[in-house]
Amino acid sequence: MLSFQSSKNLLSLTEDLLVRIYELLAAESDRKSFRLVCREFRRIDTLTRRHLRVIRIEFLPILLRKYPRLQSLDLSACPRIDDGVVSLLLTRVGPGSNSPILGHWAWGLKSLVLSRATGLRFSGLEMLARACPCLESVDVSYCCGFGDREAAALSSAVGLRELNMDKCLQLTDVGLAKIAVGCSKLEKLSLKWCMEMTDLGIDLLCKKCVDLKYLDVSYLKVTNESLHSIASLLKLEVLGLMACPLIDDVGLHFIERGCPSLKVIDVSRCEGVSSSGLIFVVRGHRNLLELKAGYCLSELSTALLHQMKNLNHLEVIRIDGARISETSFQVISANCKSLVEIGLSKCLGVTNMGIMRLVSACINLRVLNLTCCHSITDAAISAIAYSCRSLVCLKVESCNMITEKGLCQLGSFCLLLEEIDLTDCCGVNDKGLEYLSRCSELSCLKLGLCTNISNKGLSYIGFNCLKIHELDLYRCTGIGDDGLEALSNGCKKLRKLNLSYCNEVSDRGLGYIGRLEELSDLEMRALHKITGVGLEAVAVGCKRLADLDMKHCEKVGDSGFWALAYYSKNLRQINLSYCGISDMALCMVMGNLSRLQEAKLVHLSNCTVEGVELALRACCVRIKKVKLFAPLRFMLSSEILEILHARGCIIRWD
Amino acid sequence: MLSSKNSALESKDNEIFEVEESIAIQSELIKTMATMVNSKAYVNERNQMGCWKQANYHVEQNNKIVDEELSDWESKFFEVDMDDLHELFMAANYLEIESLLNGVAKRVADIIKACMNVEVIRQTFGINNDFAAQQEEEIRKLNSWNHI
Repeated sequence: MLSFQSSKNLLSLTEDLLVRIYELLAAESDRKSFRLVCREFRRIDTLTRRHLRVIRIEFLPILLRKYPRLQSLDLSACPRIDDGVVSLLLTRVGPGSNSPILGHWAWGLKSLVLSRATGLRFSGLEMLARACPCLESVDVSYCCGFGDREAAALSSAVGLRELNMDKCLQLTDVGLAKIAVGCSKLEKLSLKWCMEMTDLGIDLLCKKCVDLKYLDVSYLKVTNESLHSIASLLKLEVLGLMACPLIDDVGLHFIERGCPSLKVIDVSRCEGVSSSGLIFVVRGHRNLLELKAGYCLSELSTALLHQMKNLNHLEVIRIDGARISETSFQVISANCKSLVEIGLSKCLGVTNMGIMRLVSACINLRVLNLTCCHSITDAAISAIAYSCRSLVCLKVESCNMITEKGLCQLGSFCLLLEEIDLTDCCGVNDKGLEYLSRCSELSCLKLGLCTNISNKGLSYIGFNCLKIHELDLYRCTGIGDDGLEALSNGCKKLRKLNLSYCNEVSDRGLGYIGRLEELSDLEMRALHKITGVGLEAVAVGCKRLADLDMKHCEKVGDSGFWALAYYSKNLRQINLSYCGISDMALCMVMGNLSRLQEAKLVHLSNCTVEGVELALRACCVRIKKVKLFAPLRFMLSSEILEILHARGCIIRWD
Repeated sequence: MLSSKNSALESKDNEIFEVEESIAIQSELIKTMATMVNSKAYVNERNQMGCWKQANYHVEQNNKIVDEELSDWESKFFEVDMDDLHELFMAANYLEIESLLNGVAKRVADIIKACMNVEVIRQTFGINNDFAAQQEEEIRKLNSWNHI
C-alpha cells in the first residue's frame, strides 16, 4: 500500500460502484467518515441519502436543501418542532432570487416520523400533508394532544398506507372516520391507547379500508362487536388485541370464520380470553404464524392442544403465565417444529424434561424466554445449547440453579447469542462469565443481582465481547474500578450501563467510564464513594450522554455538577434526587442543558425553595416532566406552577 | 441445470479459457455477447481466472445453499491487496457478474468500517483530501446534527 498509482485508487471507480460501497455502510458513524474523505465521496453521500434523522433543529433547513432526494424524514428527536417551524421549512425562499424554494424536499418524501412532536398541531400537519404528495407512511405516536382535527389534517394525504397514532389520546370515532374515508388505501394502522375509540369507529374503518393488513387496537375498550367488524377484513394479516378488557371468547368466535389471511394474533393480557376462545382462532387458521397469548390463559386445555396439532407453520408462541403440562410439551414438540420464538415466562410446570423435549424438536429456535422458571437447571441449558445453535436471545431471569456448567455449554455452541438475561441468577460466577464471553456476538448482557461475580469475571467480558451495547450490573457488589477498566478497554460500543449500588466504584472507575464515547444511558444510584471528580470525568468524556440517574450519590460536589452543566449538552433525562447539589449548580444545570426534558429533583437537601424556583424558571420553556419534593407544592409560588402547567409540563410530587 | 457445453473465452492477453456454459452465463455481458457473432471480451487474464473461480463456486453452491461455507470461502477469496481488489472490481463490473460485484463492494465496505478515522481511510485507499479547510470544518459541524 506504499506507492499508489493514482489511476488504480478507489476514486477511479465509476459512480454506481461507489454508491454500491456506500450503501453497504449501514452504520451512521461509518457514513459520517465516508462523507469527510474527499469531495467525490461527499457527493455520493448527498446523492444517495434517502433517510434523515435530525436532532438539532437549527440545522434542519440547511440539511433539507442539501439532500434533495429524501424519502424518509425522522423528526422525533426534535423537541421544539411546531407549526411555525413547519411553515418556515415549506415556504421559505433562500437568499437571492435564483435559489430554489426550500419546500421542494417534500416532493419525494414517502415517510415522516413525528413521534412525540407535541408542539405540532393540525395546521402544521395539514401543511405537511398537502406539501408531500407521495406521503405513504406517517408516525405521530405519543403526540398526546392530537385528536380529531389532527386526524382530519392527516386524512388529506390520500396515498397514505401506514399510520401510527398510538397514544393520540384525544382521537375519537369522528377523527377515525375522517381517516377511514380519506385514506382508503390504508394498509397498516396502529391505535394503541386511543382510549376514546369505540366499536362505531372500528366498524366504519373496516367498511372503508378494505386493504388493511395490520391493525392494532391494543388497550382499547372495544367490545366483541368490533371483532365482528374486523372479521370482515379479508386481507388482514396482523391483529393486535393486547389488554383489551372487554374482548372475550365470544368475540374470538367471529374470528374463526373471518380474516382468512390472518397470520399473527396478539391477545396477551386479555382477561376475558381463555383456551376456548383460542380454540376458535386456531381452528379457523391452520397457517397461523404467531400466537401471542401471554398472561391470559391459566392453562392449555386438552381441546386447545388438540387443535394446536394443526399449527405446523407456527413460528412464534407466547403463553407466559400459564400452567404447562407434559402433554403440552409433547404436542408442541411433535407438531410445531418451525418455532423460532417461545415465551414461557412465569409459566408453572416448566421442567428440564419438557425443555429438553421441546428444543430437540425445535432446532431453529432463536428466542427463548424462561424468566422465573425456577426448576430449570444446567441440564436444560446444555440441551438448549446443543440443539439450538442459532439461538440469539435467552432470558433466564431468576433461574438460580444455573451455574457455570450451563454457561460453558452456551459459550461452546451458541456462538450467535446476542442477548442474555441472567438477572438474579446467583449461580453465575467469574468462571461462568469466562465461558459466556466466548459468545463474541453478545450485545445485551443483564447480570443484575448476580452477587457472585467480581472484576475478574467482568474482565473476560471486556476482553472478548466487543460488541456489547447494554450491560446491567445492578447491585453486583463485587464489581469495582478494575472491572470498569477492563470494560472500557474493550467494550467501546457500550451505550447503556447500570452500576446502581455497586458500592466499590470510585472516581477512578468513573474515569474509565469517561472513555466510553458511545455511552448514552448511565444509571449509577447510591455510589457512596464517588465525588465531583468522577462526575466531571463522565461529563467530559461521555459526550453522547442522554440519560443520567444518580439518585443518592450524596458525596458528589458542585464541581461535578458544573461540569455536567457545561459539557453534557445531549442530556435529556436526569435524576438528581437526594444529591448534594447547591442552588447555583442546580440553576446552571437546568438552565444550560438545552435538551433537558425530564428531571427528577426530589429532596435536594442543599437547595432552598428559592433556588428550586429559579432553576424551574430557567428551564420552563422546554422541560416536559419534573418530579419534585411533595412539601414544595405549597412553598413554590403559584406563578411558577401555572407557567409550567401552561407549557404542558407534567409535575409529579413525591 | 449443469450442461456439458463449454464456451471458449479469449482474454486480452490471448489466453483461452474453457468455461462451462452455465458458469459463463453468470456474466451478463457474456450472456448477451453469446448471441452476437465474433465478439471479444477485453479483460485482463489474471482477473478472468478469479472471476470464473468465483462464478464457478457460486453455481456449485446454489445447489447446496450453505450460507456459512459460502461466506467463509468468499472472505478468504477477497483477502487480496488493493491493486488486485481494484482489478477484480473493474473486471466484475465489465463482465457484469452481480454476485462478484456485491462481494467486492462488501469487502471494500468492511475495510472502510475497520478504519479508525477518516485519515486512515485516505491512506488505505490513497485518496487526497481535496476539501478546503473551511469546507471540512463545515461538514464536521454538520455531522454533529446526527449524534445517535
